[in-house]
Amino acid sequence: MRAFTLGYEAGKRFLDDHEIFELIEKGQKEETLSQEEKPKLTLEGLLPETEPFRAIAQNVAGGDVEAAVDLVKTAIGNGRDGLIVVTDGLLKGMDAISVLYDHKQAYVPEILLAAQALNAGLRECGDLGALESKGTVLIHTAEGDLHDIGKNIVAAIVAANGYRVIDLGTSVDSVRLLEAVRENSPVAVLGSSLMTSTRSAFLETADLLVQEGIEVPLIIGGGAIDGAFAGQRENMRYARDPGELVRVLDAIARAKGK
Amino acid sequence: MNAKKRIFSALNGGRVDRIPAWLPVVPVTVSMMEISKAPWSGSHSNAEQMAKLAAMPWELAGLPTATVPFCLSLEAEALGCQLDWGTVNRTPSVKRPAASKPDEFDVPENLLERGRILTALKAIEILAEHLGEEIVINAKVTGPFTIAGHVFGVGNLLSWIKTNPEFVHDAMSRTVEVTKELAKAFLAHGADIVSVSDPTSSGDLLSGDYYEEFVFPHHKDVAASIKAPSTLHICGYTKELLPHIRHTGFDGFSFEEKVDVLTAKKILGDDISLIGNISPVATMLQGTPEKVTTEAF
Ligand code: B12
Repeated sequence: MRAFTLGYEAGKRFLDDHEIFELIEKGQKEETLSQEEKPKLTLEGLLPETEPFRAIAQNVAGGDVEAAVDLVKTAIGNGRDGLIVVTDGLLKGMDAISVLYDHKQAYVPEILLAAQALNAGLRECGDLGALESKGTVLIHTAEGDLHDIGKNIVAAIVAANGYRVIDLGTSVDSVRLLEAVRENSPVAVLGSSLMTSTRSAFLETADLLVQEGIEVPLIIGGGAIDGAFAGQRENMRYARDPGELVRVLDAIARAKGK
Repeated sequence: MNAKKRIFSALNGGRVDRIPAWLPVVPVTVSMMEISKAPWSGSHSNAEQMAKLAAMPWELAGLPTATVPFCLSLEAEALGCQLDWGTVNRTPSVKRPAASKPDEFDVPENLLERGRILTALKAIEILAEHLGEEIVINAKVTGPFTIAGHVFGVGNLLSWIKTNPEFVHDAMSRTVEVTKELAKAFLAHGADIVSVSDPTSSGDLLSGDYYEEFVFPHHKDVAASIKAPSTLHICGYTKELLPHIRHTGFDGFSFEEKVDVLTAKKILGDDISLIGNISPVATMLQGTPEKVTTEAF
């Protein structure tokens, strides 16, 4: 009962020799192009110039939790403003390693460690009144999606940028999300989806929020999401990476503050 | 040339009359569950239903292979991880790790009797008995790095690469035994091919150097232990891993469209056959039959 066949021609070679050579030439051109396009970056070039921020950033980027914490303690002890240590030191380190990661010169282990150093450093910066006033955000992965490495990185970076992040974990359904929104009145809900089969959960969530009359933007990202998908609902937005997300969040928080 | 011969020949780098349509991962769909009357729940836990559903791609679409199990969590469940059982269109996967340090974890003596492993072994037996002459009976086993990610948490495992490399070596030396033991058991129950899936060792997470140091020796060990044709599948971007994958000893390497075929071929040479490279989402799920045919040939 073979229902259908694709109509193969038995014995046909799939490419002629000259086609193969054309492909090889094309491939080689593309390869040289892509190598030219990507100049090697150095960590040194991405760090802030002045001390102690440079050393702090360097140890965040290098994922040296202890050294980062020690340097932050010393800086604060010397009377540096906690907020400045965060923005000019800790965050610059996280930014630097993120840039290297985007250029495939750093990998997820480096990002995870940098996030740990960043968080440990943040705890030493005391009461960051000015930072914390930015507002609360909820973060989750789409129902059915258990990929959480990206979500955890996003959460760490958003927290480092002065938001109170409530992490609802993985595979969160829209009802549970709604409850959490009611409880915490966040400035935004963040959602991560890496699997195409799970992203439609965001449509459901977006609709539910409208239905319940809750005005909060749902900002989504991850490999399964793009602008076109997010454009399907008015209360849904796409952000490509944590950097863009923070810019979007800051704009929302500013608009809300007014 | 019959389908089975064609696949074996292609895997060994030999003559074929055309490219075989084959894949070492899971091609079952929700409508196949409906047609085969093997519902989602049963197909993960009942050997007969598992076998029925696994045969569907052949019965329905002429894809000459049957693959079990359908998830990557068979091993993890048997090792004590808590699962999210998923839904009809979502395979079971690991919800919570089983341990937080390598020395908290030992491979259980009665591994094969735990979780759903006997079910999957029985399903392979049924498939081999009924379809073994016509099509390839493919046993999918999870690779050691992915099992380690399940057992200890991927975040932990990846952080240890930087903070406690010896933990990673220790963890891998334990989980590699699980992969090897399962592969051996599946073959003993009638599988023709063992396909190792190790998505967590993707180049999206690891550099080529990390792969070489922490994963490669174990992939080599697994490949050497499999006394049958074998394949390796790694998700995502794998270009930087290819120079090492070439020397693992697997017969085939299944990879995704993030690396183009020509680049892969140039790096892998004739040491390992290429499998896949057609986007499961953009082409297979969202594309058209024409698009699939064009990309395949
Ligand atoms: C590691 C991995 C796994 C691990 C997950 C471990 C974990 N705890 O997270 C394991 C092995 C468990 C796994 C399982 C599965 N996986 Co998987 N997995 C991957 C892999 C290789 C890497 C993902 C990753 O962590 N990348 C590194 C992080 C840092 O990047 P990221 O998540 O993209 O996040 C960044 C950005 O996207 C962005 N971002 C992310 N979220 C958000 C949110 C917001 C708001 C914003 C602004 C930005 C943002 O910022 C992050 C930092 O830069 C990908 C391949 C890939 N190319 O992505 C497949 C992949 C995601 N998996 C896939 C599949 C199919 C599965 C399984 C179904 C396999 C199976 N049959 O069992 C299961 C499903 C499990 C489940 N129910 O969720 C597919 C999804 C295909 C699709 N498009 O639908 C992929 C794409 C592989 C593939 N090409 O087939 N997987």
